Amino acid sequence: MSASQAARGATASGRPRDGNLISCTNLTKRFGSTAALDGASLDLAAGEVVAVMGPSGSGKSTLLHCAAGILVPDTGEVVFDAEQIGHMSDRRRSELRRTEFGFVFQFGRLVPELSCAENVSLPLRLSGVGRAEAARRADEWLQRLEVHEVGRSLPGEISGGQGQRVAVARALVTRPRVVFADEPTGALDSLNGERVMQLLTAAARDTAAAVVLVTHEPRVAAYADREVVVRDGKTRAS
Amino acid sequence: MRRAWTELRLGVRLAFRGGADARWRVALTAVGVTLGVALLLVGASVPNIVSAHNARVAAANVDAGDAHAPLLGLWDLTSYRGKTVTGMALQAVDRDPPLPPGLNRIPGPGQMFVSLALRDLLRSPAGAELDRWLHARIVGTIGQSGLTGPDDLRLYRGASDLRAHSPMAIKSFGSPESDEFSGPLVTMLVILMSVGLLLPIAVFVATASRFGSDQRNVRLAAIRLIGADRIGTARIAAGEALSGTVLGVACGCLLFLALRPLISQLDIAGISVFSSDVRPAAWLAVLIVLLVPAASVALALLATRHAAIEPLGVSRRGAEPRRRLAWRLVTPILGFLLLLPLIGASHRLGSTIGQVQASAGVVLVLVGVSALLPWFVEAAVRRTEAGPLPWLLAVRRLRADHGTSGRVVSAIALTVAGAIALQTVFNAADAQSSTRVPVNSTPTALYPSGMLVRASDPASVVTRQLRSTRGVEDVVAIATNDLNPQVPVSVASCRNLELIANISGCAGRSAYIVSAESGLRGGQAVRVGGHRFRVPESAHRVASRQLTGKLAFAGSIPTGALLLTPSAAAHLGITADLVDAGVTLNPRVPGARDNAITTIARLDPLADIPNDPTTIGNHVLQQLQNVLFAGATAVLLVIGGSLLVAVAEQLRERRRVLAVLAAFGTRPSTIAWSVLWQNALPVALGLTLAVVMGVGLGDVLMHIIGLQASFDWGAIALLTAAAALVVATVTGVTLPIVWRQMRPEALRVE
Amino acid sequence: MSVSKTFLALLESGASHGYDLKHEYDARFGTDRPVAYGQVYATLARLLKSGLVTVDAVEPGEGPDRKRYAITEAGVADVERWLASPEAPEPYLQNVLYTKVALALLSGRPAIDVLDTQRAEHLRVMRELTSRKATGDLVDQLICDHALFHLEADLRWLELTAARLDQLAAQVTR
Repeated sequence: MSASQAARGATASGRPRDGNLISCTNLTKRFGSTAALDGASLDLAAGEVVAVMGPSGSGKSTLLHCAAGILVPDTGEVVFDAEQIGHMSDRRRSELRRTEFGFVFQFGRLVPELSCAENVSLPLRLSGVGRAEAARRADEWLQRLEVHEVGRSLPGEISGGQGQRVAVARALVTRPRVVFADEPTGALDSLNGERVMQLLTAAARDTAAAVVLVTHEPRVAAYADREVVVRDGKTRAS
Repeated sequence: MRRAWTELRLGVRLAFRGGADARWRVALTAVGVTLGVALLLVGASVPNIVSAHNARVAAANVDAGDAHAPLLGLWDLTSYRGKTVTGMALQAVDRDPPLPPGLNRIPGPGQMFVSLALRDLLRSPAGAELDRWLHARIVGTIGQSGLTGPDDLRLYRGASDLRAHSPMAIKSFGSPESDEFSGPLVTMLVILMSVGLLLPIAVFVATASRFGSDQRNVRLAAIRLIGADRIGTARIAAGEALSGTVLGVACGCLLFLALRPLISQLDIAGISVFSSDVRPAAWLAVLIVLLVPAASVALALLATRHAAIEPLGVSRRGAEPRRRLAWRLVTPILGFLLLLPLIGASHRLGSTIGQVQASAGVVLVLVGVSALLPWFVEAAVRRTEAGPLPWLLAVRRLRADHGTSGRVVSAIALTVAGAIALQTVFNAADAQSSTRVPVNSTPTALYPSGMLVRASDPASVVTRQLRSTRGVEDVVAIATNDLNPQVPVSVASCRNLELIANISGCAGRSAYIVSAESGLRGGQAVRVGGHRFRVPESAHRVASRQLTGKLAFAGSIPTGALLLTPSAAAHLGITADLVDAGVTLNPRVPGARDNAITTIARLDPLADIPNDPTTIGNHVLQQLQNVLFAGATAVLLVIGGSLLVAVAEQLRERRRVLAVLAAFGTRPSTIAWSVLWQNALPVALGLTLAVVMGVGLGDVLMHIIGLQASFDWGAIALLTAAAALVVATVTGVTLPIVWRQMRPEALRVE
Repeated sequence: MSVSKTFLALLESGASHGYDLKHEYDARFGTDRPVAYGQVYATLARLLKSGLVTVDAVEPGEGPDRKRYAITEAGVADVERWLASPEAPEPYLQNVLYTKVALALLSGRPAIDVLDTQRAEHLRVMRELTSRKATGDLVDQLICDHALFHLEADLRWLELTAARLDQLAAQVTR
């Protein structure tokens, strides 16, 4: 990476690069003829909570997907823990997502046919943790997020707020170093949204997990340590 | 009324204009229904095909008259390279003889009328040998009215010496009915084939008309939101369902019309069909054309009733009740109850009531398979808890989708159960017919009989000519005086006489009386065919014996009461010019058999040459069995296609879940395994059920027609494996869809 | 709302008389409350005194409107500073913010920077309120929430304005 690129990355995200867990520099990503990202950058320090804000269609979700190794950007680079994600095989990126990252989506996106407890233990089992141990840890996290009582219910049988808490438990159960949350409160009312955000940020801070929080709601972004604005595929630092 | 019409039309518009997705689903439904309707129409044509075939066979049959009938005829069936050539030798003995169907005159000696198919064969290099056997001149072709089908190899040839072969006296052609398709066994086969193969198609059509019903419900909910009432929604749903099925029915009819000429090219069990005979029974065709759309509407209404479509979305009506075993057992039990009284009463299959009873029984038992399967799957899935992650995902998915997979798979199970039952009946029929086939021919021997050879020593002529034929090893030939004599006389060389009786010191004019045959005595005066003579005083009493070694055969060469050497026969003035022979062939000489037949045909074109051993006996059944397997395979493929569509549809609906799983870093293999389990588990359960029910049904059916049930486990394994292969293939084909759905783009769309 | 900063920014696009300034101001920003003549000349006098404007021409004749005012370099710097610094987040801010955006557009400066700067300030305050909420009692929480919702409304307005900047620019500079 050239010095000028480094410098741009630094100024764009407003933070020095050193000690960053994730550095995204100058990402571009096109879907067909539309450019979702057009020179976006994002730095994330360990344990830091960053809000990615911007209007709908600005490319904030794409930025999250690139940072999380779900998508590979067309140009630019994503470095996680001194390792270039763009150079990784799909297998390695999947492994990274299993072990180092956690995910919370809008509407929970729980697997509908699995019970809530099974949903939470799913990432553990994907990483090869035994059934009993995974169930025990899932239970712990359900308790921590105050939804222990819905463990045996199916996602279709619980409220949106409960479902989102289960989703947060599912994201944190592997004790990931980064949690990616895409509009985690998008489908919730203020009170439930507040509670989910409180629990998410508190749990993340407890486990020293960094959080990338994609949201268009200022009150949700206010839970972050700082914010990055995406507009027309470009990031604007604050 | 007017409103109802508007709503129906709105449904149709939604189906066609609801975007690419909606059109895709309409197309899928239409394709499924098209295939199903075409197959159903072919099935509905079977009664007409059979009756037309029977009528054609009957038309060519002979109404035997008395001795004064104006026409003599002799059936002249030849097997040539695995094909049956149906021939008849004709000799007019009076004026105005009756004409066989499709002929305008009786051919003279050395002339023949042939079917177009036979003419083409004779003119091709492949038919050169047959041409030598027949050695008659083609003077015309047989009209379509005289043929059973376009591939019918048929000939009528003229003869001059027919009386010596004890021919039929023909009063007229055409008999009121043919018995080719009759008997309890055949009735059972027809019932099973129609039910066993058409029922899965019906199930398939039902499944096809439900493609994408979840999406449809979501759409209907949106329409409820803008103010449609429950009945209006139902009408819109009906309109949507109708657009795919009506299109499918129309295309199915067109496909059927396109298939008709192709059907006439098929040669099924040696029977070919004129495409003009492929006509669905009118009432069945009307039933199909009306019932398929009606059924799709009924199913659509049932689906909208089942899932409460409310303005704010689709909700299943309450917690789905656990499937009860009791009523699901009713159908198969009722089916068996219908079948059991028929045991030992196979004659009742001859009556319509008996046939309806048997068909209903078979239908109920097979429907029982599809009724039991969802319960079976659910019961199995409910009990499994532990297991690796793919297994857990598959089991939970199955538990959640309440029988959708069971429905598709039940069509497969139904096919396999029906095919196993059919296979069992075939197997028994096979065993039964095999025991009936006379052992008069083996690959290395040939037993021609009734060769009319006008010569002083016909047996020697035959022996000499056959001996000098390439590939013939040994010949026994014995001449007899008449096919139906008062005193049977056999004339042969001493060597040959010694083979059939315990004779020693035969020479010159030796004569023997076979003691077992009659009370002839030396010196007795007898009359043979108008010729009087005295049995020589020197005639010894001897015992007949069995031929041994390669020439061993029973009953084929008649043993006369009087055995004579040729010179003894000449001395007594006895003519014996019908020769029976046993010919052994050198298997290492190619074409030995054909050469021998050519020689025999030259000696007497009307000689009775037994069938080629590779084609004897169960040939027709073997071919029917092939048809069964081909039919079952076709049905399995069509259902495999529908399973594919169902899985693809399900995956489309699950793309967000798959995308989420991908985001979590789930290995693609984990998903692949879960899809495989999800498909394989119901199929494994379905096949188990199918084997049990199929074997049980086959057993009962065998008892009904009074045959020992014997199961061809190899064939059952083959059928099961074919079904399993279909599932494996479907899974394999859907995997690319899984990979595509696992792309995180699906996360983007809300 | 700062009339003086607004006058300065208006002068940036060209020297003008007090009378014309008042009318431009009224037309653009003073829909409810036109600025009084007295305030116009008082403001201009204050700006003149602090060296942010100069009189670049005096026309012959009587009356106060003979002077034509022009912005100085110090004045331009002051406008720059003003536009770049966020307003303290408080209710009914949009008048000031709108003025700033419109003036940025008029003067050819990137108006989006004005909005982003303001957003950052709003969010800073919101973060403070949010963390205070985490430690405070219910009353604190309710008070904080009230403020948060107001700030959020401002931010939504900012967002909307940002999305319509092109339209606005076309209208303002017409």
